[in-house]
Amino acid sequence: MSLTRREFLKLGLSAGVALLANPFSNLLFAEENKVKDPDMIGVRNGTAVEMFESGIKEFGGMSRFVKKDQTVVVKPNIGWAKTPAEGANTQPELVAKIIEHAYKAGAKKVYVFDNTCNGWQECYKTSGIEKAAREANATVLAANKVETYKKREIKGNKLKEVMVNQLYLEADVVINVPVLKHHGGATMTSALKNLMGVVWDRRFYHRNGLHECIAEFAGLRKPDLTIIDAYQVMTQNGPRGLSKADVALRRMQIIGTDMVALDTAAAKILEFDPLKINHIPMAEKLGIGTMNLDKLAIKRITV
Amino acid sequence: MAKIRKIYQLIFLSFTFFIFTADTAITQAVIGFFHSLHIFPALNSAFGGSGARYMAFTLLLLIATAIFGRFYCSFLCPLGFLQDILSSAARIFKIKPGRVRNIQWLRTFILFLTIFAAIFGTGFWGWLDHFSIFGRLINGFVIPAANYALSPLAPYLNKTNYLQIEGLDAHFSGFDFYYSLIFITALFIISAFRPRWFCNTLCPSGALFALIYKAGFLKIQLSKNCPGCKRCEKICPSASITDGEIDYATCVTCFECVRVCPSNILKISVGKNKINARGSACTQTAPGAISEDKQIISAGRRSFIANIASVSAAVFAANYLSKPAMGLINIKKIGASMPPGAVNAHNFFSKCSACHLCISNCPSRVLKPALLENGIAGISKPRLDYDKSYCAYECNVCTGVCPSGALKYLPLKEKQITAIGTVFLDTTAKTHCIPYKDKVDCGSCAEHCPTGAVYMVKNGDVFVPKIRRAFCNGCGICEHVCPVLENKPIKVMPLAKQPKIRRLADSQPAQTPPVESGGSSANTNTNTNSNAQPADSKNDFPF
Repeated sequence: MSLTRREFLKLGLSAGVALLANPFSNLLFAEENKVKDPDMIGVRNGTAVEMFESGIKEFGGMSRFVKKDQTVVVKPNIGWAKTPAEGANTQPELVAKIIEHAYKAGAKKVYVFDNTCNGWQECYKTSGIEKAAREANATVLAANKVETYKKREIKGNKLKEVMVNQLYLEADVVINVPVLKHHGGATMTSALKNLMGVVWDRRFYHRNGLHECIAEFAGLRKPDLTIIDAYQVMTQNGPRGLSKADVALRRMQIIGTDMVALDTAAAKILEFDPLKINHIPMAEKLGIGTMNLDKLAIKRITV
Repeated sequence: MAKIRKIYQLIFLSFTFFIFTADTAITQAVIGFFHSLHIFPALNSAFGGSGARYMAFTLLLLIATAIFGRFYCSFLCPLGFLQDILSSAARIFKIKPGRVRNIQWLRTFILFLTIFAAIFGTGFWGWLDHFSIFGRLINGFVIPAANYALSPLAPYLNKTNYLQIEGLDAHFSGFDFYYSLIFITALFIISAFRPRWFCNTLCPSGALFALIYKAGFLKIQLSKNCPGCKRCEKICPSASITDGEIDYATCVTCFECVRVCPSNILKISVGKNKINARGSACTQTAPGAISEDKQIISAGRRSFIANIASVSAAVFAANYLSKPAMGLINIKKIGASMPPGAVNAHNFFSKCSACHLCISNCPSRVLKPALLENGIAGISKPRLDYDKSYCAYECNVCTGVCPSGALKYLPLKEKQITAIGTVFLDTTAKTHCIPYKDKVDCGSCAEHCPTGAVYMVKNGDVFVPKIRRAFCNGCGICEHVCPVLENKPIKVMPLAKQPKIRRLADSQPAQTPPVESGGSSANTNTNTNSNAQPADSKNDFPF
């Protein structure tokens, strides 16, 4: 496409007007007033969607992570054939909203998948995520076929070789969207544990040291953005849950890029000691992130 | 008419495939209607008490058969269509059709055998019933073969959500595959010469329809002006036409004769054919025999009575002997779990005809045809294979698709508390329970357990599994997901009677999350002070 001079002027003018008229434009121009970009955003007291909207805005907007024509993987937790109210999976509205933001930021294609614990069709359907993501124009794919995985070597103590979902490796941007839950085996499931959903053989983890494998895998490719859904959290009998009594309304969300820091904060929401959730300190030792929240600039928002 | 027939056949075959592969996509009413069309499973289910709802359709089918003839065989029967296809395939290989005689006494014998076996509950009638045979063909042969044939495309197809190739492993079960392969080969050889030989020699449903149609209403009739070109005789797939006479005991009303008649003198009309009108169901018309009404009739009657007597004797003997032989008396122990809704082993093994509808519809593919896990009575009948998969807590598909009443329909809530097996945990040195032995966290079993029957407790530095058997419904997910490769410490043992379990959530209603009462201020309603601009109030956050 070639532009004539007139067209160029028109374009520039309209872009300028749009920029000025944009209600968020003050963010752009107020850049120098900020001391430091926050490392992590904590949001509370809204719906999952409301909290995400205000949280991501504080974090610089989705355009900070997703550039034009990039492919994006949104990896929620769709592990169980349970309804959104049962708190075993990520909130479908939140997944849809993230997809929407990714497209607004210029994403070419957004993929959603999870290697589920129950049958994938039941999980995708009952969780409401398949429908919500499709309506937001994302491509929802099954992750139950070995053909869609690729072998990767990891120089870990326990994990040497792992089959990883091809899309997770090849996508330009990965957005990790775990739901915060108690976990019978790993004590807690959040950002780091959620990445087991892009791995083919989870039984290997269980056989060879669950915590170590979780920590060692995290270094392979760190998600570009992690959003922990703690709107409702499973406080016991996780990760599946037995009844609604296992789920408590917390109305919180944590947004950030450091999975270790995010999980440390998330453990506190569940009132667990993060040091006792072995994969978090292990991941810190491997240099995945920091558990020292005091060092971080945390922006806390109440919606 | 012949064209219309082919369209109907095609539609019904597709419909049958759909029923066999659609998993949860179909409603109960559609399944019920479909079941009602297959006479022996339908009757068995009606006598069994659970399937009476759609019996009206079955009765309608029988009445329609009396009027129009064996249209089920020619228009609807999937196995009949398969034979038509196989014989057309044989034509491609230039095999000329020949006259393979229908053995009608055998057919009648099999009919009685089937009826008695069903009434006395020995369950082996499934080996004779055409629908069950067809089901085993689909599930045992067609689906695995299709999966195998398409497997080169798997890398491409499996990247979409639509047509997924599950691989041979998901469906292949040795015995049923080879059985079906042999059966289909035999059918091919016979069909090559005489397409509907099976229908008139081995099929009990065909025999029953023939008995009803004998006194039928509308019939294909031959005019006296027939020049005798014998084209109809050659085309007739069931060898019913001999020297211009139609044997209605074997005619499947396929209208092929009407189609090929060059002088259009074959007509469908009301009334009985004067010649060979009461052609017996149990004798065959010798080829070339010129009709001599009385002779044939009396000969038919005599042999009919003789047949009844001998068949009844044989059937009673067979039943008397087969029940203990099949191990159907007092089953207390079984080797592999039965699907939910089986109620007890006796009900299940005596009613199941091994049509494999539940097996091919099982979304988690845990149902597999048994070999000898459940004795002779259990051969080819569904069992749960916890190695391959587990019974999904949110699924009751199998209980809704059984055509023969072997599986009673269970609403989801009831299915969830019906125990098909029960869990055993062995943490001794004989097995290798990871947290007990290696002292590292695992928790796969408890993590997946939908009822809370397996749960984790802190033991030293690690969490170890424990069992509350009162809540176990035997779904087998713990055994399935257990990462131990050999000698799994957790196993689900089958139950010969399926009792109801307690629901953990019901028995502990006052369970409150410990953290909620812990009073983190974030959980309290803060809508009131949100106006007070708590933009960055660290106190409200636990971190």
